Formats: sequence, structure tokens, C-alpha cells
Amino acid sequence: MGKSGHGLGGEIDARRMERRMLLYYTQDGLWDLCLGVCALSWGLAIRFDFAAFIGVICGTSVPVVWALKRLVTRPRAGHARLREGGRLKRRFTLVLSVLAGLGLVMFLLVAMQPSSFLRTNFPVLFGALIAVVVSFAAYWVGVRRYYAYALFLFLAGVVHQWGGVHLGESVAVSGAVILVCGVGVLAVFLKDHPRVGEGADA
Amino acid sequence: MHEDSPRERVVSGLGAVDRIIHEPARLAIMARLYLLEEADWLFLHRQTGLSFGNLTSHLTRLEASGYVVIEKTFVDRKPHTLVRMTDEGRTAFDRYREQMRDWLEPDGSA
Repeated sequence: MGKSGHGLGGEIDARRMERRMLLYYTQDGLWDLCLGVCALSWGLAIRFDFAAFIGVICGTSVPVVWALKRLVTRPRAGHARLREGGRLKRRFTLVLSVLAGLGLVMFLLVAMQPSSFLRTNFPVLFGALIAVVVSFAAYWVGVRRYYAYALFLFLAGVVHQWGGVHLGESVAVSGAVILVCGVGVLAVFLKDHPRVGEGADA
Repeated sequence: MHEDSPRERVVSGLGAVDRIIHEPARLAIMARLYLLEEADWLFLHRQTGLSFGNLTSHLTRLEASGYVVIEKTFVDRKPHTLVRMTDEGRTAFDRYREQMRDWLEPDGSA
């Protein structure tokens, strides 16, 4: 199998090529920063009881990432569009919707049964659900560091449940760690990918 | 009447391989474009590691063969080159892979 994702003896390995493309576009660390900022702001919102804060940050973070992709990533890494890009997006959205639906069901169950097992262990279970979502993203794009982020977010719930730490603080610390990792990944990307104009060799 | 041996058939078949695609740099470009709807110059430069001059000359050669179309535009007053593989290029690449497979695995073993 060649580096390009082709096997002369078999069918072209489209999935492998897709993963290589997705991996290529996650090396800028912008989604790491987005996840870190969301988790940090979520933790701070819980800690200081300022719920509107998380909505504003999470609502603006995705458009900000797309804008930064255009400003930072494209001039350094270039742009390409997969032939099967639409199908990929649809499948990704479907799985995320199913996971979001599971989260909603969990919320409803907690609301309906105040003394249930779910309510007692809600921080751990919700942390596990978030970790599953992040792990799914890690599997999808083939970025192994996202598995570590999933673990950090799951541990935030565990530390609160059995460590006696305030949930807001544990989530904020997890977010801060992810944010620092994202800054590191972005710094490496910027160092390895200087801006190159067409007509000039790197 | 002389009949070609399997080995002779394979060697003569190699002579029919598309030389436009067979060149390593162009093969690298074609292999990437095959699965893409479109890619810009910078993406191909990063992915193949070819210098500006090399990449431009190979793309020009591929365009002249009708395997890719090159669209030159300006984005923020800077040149922006977008490359797409044509149906003809896709067919030629399929044929090339078929020929190479026959050559590398003449007995059909995968």
C-alpha cells in the first residue's frame, strides 16, 4: 500500500485517504483549542453559576474555528475537497446526532426520576458520554491525542464524583489542559508550515 | 505460429504503460487528485513535496494530456491555482493501475 492510500493490487483505499485528509486538516490544533475553550468556559460557568457564558462561548467557537481555518490553515496547508466529502459529513452528523440524542434522553431520565441511579452518578455518566463523543471524533479523524482529551473530560466527572472536587473546577482544569495542548499543536503547525505564496518555493 | 509466453506478454504490456502517469512526480499528483474533487497548488505542493517549478511543469504536462484542468484565479489579489482531474484523467489512471497490476501480479495473485 502506497503512501497515497492506493494499492495497485486492490481497490483504492478511499477510507485511508479520507483519514489522511482529515488528519492533515487537524494538525493545526484549532479544534483542540475549540474543545479546550468550550470545556474551560463550561467549567467556569458551573463554578461561578453563570450559565449564559457557556452558551455564548460554545455558540461562537465553531464559526471562529472556521474563520481561523481560512485565515491560518489554508494559506499554510492549502485546500482540497474530497469527492466523497458530502457523504462523510452526513454520516458524521448522523452519529453525532444519535449521541446528542442519548445525552438528551439521559437528561430527561434524570429529571423524571430524582432519586435514581442516573441522578446520583450523573457527573460520571455525563462525562462518559462526552468522552464517547470525543473518542468517536478521534476514531473518525484518526487523531490519537483526542483520545487523551476524552480521558481528561471523563476524569473531570470521576474526580468530582469520588474526589470531592467541585465539578466546575475539575472540568475547567481538563479544559485548560486541552487548551495548552492545542496551543502546543498550533505552535508546531505554524513552525512547520510557513506561509507560502504561489510561485515561491518553501 | 509463435505465441508469446506469459513473460513476453507482460514485458510487451509494460511498453504500453502510460508514460505521462508513470513518471513518479506525476504519479504522486495523479494519485492524490484521483480521490479529490479539487485541490489547490499549495495543497499539492505540501503533499508531494515538489518545488514550485517542478509542480508547475508537471501540472502543465498533465493539463496538456487532458488529464487535469487548471483554473487560475486571484484571491485577495494573490494568484490561486485550482486543479481538478478530468474524466479522461480518471479513466487513464484506472487503466494505468490495471496495467501495473497485470505487470506486478501476472498470475493474478493478490
